[in-house]
Amino acid sequence: MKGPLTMRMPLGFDLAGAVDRRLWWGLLWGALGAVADAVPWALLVALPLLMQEDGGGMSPVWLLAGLGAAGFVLGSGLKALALNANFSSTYTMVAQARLRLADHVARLPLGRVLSWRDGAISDLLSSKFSLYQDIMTHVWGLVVAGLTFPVLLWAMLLLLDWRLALVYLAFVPVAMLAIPWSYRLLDAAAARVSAERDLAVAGVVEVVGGARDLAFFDPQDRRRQAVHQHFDALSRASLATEVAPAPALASYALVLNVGVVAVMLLADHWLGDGSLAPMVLCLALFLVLRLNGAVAEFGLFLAELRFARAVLSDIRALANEPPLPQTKAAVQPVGGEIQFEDVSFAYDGQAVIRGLSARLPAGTVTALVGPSGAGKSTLAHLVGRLWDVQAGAIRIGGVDLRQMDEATLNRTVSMVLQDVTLFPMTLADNIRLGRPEASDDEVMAAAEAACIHQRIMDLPSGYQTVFDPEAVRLSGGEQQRVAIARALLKDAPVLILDEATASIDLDSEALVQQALSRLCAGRTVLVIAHRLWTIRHADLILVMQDGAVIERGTHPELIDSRGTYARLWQAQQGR
Amino acid sequence: MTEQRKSSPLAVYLSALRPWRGLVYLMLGLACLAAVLELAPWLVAWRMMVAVLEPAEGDPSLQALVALALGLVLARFAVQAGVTISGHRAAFQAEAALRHRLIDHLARLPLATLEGRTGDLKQVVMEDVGRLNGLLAHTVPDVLSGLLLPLVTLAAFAVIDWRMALASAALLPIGLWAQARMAAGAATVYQQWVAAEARSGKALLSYVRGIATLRAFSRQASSLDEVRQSVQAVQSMAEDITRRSAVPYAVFGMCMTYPLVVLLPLGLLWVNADSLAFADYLLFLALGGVLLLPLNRVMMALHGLRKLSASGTRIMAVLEQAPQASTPVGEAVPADASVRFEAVDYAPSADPASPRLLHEVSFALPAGTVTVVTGPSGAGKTTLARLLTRMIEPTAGRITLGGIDLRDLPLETLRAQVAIVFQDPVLFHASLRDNIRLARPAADDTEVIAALRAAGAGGMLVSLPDGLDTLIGDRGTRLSGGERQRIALARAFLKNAPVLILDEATAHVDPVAERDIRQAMTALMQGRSVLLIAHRLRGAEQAGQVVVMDGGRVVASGPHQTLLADCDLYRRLWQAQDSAADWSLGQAPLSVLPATQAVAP
Repeated sequence: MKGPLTMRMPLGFDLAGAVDRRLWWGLLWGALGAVADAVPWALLVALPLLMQEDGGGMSPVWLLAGLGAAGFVLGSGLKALALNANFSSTYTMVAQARLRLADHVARLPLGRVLSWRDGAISDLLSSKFSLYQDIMTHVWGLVVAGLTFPVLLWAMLLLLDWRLALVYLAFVPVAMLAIPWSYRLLDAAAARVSAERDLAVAGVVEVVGGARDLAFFDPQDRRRQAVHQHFDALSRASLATEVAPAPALASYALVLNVGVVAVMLLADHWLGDGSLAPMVLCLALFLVLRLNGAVAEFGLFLAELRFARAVLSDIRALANEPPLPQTKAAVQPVGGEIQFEDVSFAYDGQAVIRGLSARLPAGTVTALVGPSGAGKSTLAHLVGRLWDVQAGAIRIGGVDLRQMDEATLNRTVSMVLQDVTLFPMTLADNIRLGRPEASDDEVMAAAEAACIHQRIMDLPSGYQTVFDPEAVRLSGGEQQRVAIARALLKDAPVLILDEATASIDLDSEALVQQALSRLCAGRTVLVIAHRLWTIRHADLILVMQDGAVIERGTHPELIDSRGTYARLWQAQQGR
Repeated sequence: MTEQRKSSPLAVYLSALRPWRGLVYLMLGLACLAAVLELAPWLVAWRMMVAVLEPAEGDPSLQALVALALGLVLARFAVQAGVTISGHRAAFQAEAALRHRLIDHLARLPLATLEGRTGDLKQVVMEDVGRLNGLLAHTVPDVLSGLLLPLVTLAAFAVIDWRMALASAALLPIGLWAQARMAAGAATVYQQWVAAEARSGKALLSYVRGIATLRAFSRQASSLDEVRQSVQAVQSMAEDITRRSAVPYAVFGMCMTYPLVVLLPLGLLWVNADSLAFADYLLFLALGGVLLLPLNRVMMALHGLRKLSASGTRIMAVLEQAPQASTPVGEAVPADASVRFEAVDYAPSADPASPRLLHEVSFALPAGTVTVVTGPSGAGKTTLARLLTRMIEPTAGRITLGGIDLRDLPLETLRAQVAIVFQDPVLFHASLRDNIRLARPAADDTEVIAALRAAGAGGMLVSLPDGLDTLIGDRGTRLSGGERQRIALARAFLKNAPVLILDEATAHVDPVAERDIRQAMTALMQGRSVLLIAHRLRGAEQAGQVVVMDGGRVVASGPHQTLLADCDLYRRLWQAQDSAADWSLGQAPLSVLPATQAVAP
């Protein structure tokens, strides 16, 4: 990611997965359109020839006018074609790249996603991507014409006087050295802007999203003051970035102009020794000046690509995050037994699970209890393969999770998490998340079993209500029951409940419990619960501490053994 | 206010620039100079051609002319650098100023107006404001120089030969016609474009937020209709705009590059007719080729301007939202910590047909007592907390604190008098210590630790990797819901305000910790008024009074024992809690049915 050459495709078209064929048509039409741009200059160069033909005076005028008009019409048509092909193909590919990248996020280990600052990923997918889209679509159309036109002008110069053409050409590669230099100058400055911008974005998200809490706890507005400082720092860094490449860009233009000066001086010299006609010198002067203008513009344009490079490198940083490896060979699990075999897992260098082994027979309820930070949630997430184990193995129905393809794992394991997330789509589709192909009747049956059907029917648009936390006020318990309906619809043999029994409102509590009881029937359940009495009938209770199981057994067994569980139970009896 | 609404959306950018207008004028002057200097090499070249083709006495040497050309080019670099620096300097500072203004303005808005708008507002503060540097440092100089250059040249042409001047501008009307074709309806299209981008931004934000859930269902962005459709809507809109504007765009570009094609034959005609000097013909050819090219810049700049005005409109919409009314500090001081709700009505919208969430709610919270508010969901419990904190305002009736109507109390005073813990508290990207002492930055570690212990979170000092120095918040150590609530409780305890509101503040906390918290709180809350909104009634028996709500009305209030005897709803809630508490996974589902039916809405 250091220089443009290390990129697989400089404009990041590879992110789209497949190249749209219109892209190459756009290239062709664009190149032909640039030929039309060169027509006036070709006519200019041909002027002395036409003026020498003293065949009446009228015919060269009509020839010029006719060729010019033809160039105009052809040029307009070709450019319109090029524009259509370029923009349509690049916009299509950018949209594909955006969706692919968003999909990619869902395939990363959850911990990697969470390690990005809140809002950074969505900022990348939305605003940074639209910036990138603007740059890329325009760049693609301009590169072609920008390159073809000066090449044609130079070819005309070559025909006029090859010596002058070569003199000018000698300066171009020297000047071009300044472009990578400008990138180097910019990279450091741009990285700072990007970092400052991320801080400012996170700050805005914090003070707007947390406005309620700040209003009562930050009377001196210290958090807001910090955001103000981020804004100022961003402003300073942005200015530095604009100025940073100046030495390189000035050198670029300077070298090119020295080239023009050299051409002029040598032309003067060759005029003196008679090897250059005065008229040829004048025409060469026209061509060199216009050529120089086009080359200078092209170089500046390459330098402008730095924005695309900076944004693209951010996008690539996300694209290069390795996803959880997926297997193609789908080994089908037999039954719903879960086996933990010497499982270890560390997060950020801290061991969270240490060599844990357990067997959860199919169709039984196993509870994980223990203090916060004991690793209960991590263990549950490992079963859903939100992460991969670092040592040992987790097997469901005899198959290592890593040997299961995504579809099989999805069919096998359901999770109901403590933090329920409903998405801005219809409630029916929110439930259907569990099984996209489910019919409306199946969705309703699941909602009914989850005790949420009536509540949904009471909403003005029923199941077609698009969830919007502002317009549709569903209580925590109601959202929980929607999540349970999802899991019911999905009907997987293994069920993970992460604190899903800690209900939110009292009247919901009973309904949530009823829904949960239905959901758990006949499945292998792994449940995390703080309230011990809600799991006292579990077939197996695993007491965790510091990433390991310190006690295991049924409720009566654990009470009899008078260990940690018994003490916790005793404490909770005082409710 | 109305005047402001009528003004152009760009005005918001221009007014932000006002403090830096010196720099802006400097930039404008330099941009004009740079435009004129752009022609210089062509003029020098023309002089050279005349000297070569029609040598005369007193012609400057070619070397001298070359040196002059180089000098003018270097001068243009210097001037252009001045344009870049002064333009960006003014623009970036104005951007920061506009962001300062926005974020301060947002802090004064009624809190309820910010709910659920984090993504949108981030877009406004960062992206929409961020278009200012493009406007000032690129659009304005490009438009200025792009118009100035052709105008000056054409005027000079007219002085030398009006026929050639007309000929060089012959393609301009066609180009302008093409422009007009493109501009027709463009403003609306670009508004739609910005809206489409905003929609996909919102969809992607909620996608990324829900990624844990989506992972659990192995769903990805492209399988979610809203995400896929919103991204594709941006694409198809772009394709649509391209299809419509491709031909006029191409025609315009050709008009700008083709004046030479008109000048060549006409000039030749007049040269042949001896009505145009050959040297003048050369001048028209030298300048005619590049005469209209700057208009391309103007068009690109105007193109960007449309997106800009959509952004400006959104910034203005935020700035025009009225801040929450508040009286100046110091005018009213509450007598004590007592709170009274007096016949309070609340409806979320002003529409008289819209359902009311509260109906004539009246009760008093005597200073130094604990009041528990309970009731089934939808009863309006949380609305009470939102009203008491002035996140929303009552539609009728009034709420007093220490005898003063909340609306007569300065907002600062109210917020200083109240500490609140929400069910979903937001913690900030800072150390645990700084999160807790947010309200009292001067508090020392002993006080911070005491507050943490009182909140049942003493264990976190050991369990968190760096104790009080542990970074928490969105990118810090991950905390469970219960841990977040306990930190928020500690934060509230340390603030030590006369009125404490706990809105389901211990819903995620385990019962052992909850009991500890209750005991600690009893000690801490001496002389303070506590409003405890809870669905779990454990501890209600110790509260001074319990207010039972249902359907937006106060059904009953009084001490626990009285209500247990007199209030059916309260008795059912109390019993439901017991039977709910008896429930356990792995039991037959039927065992919970009687209790369920008892409270099912």
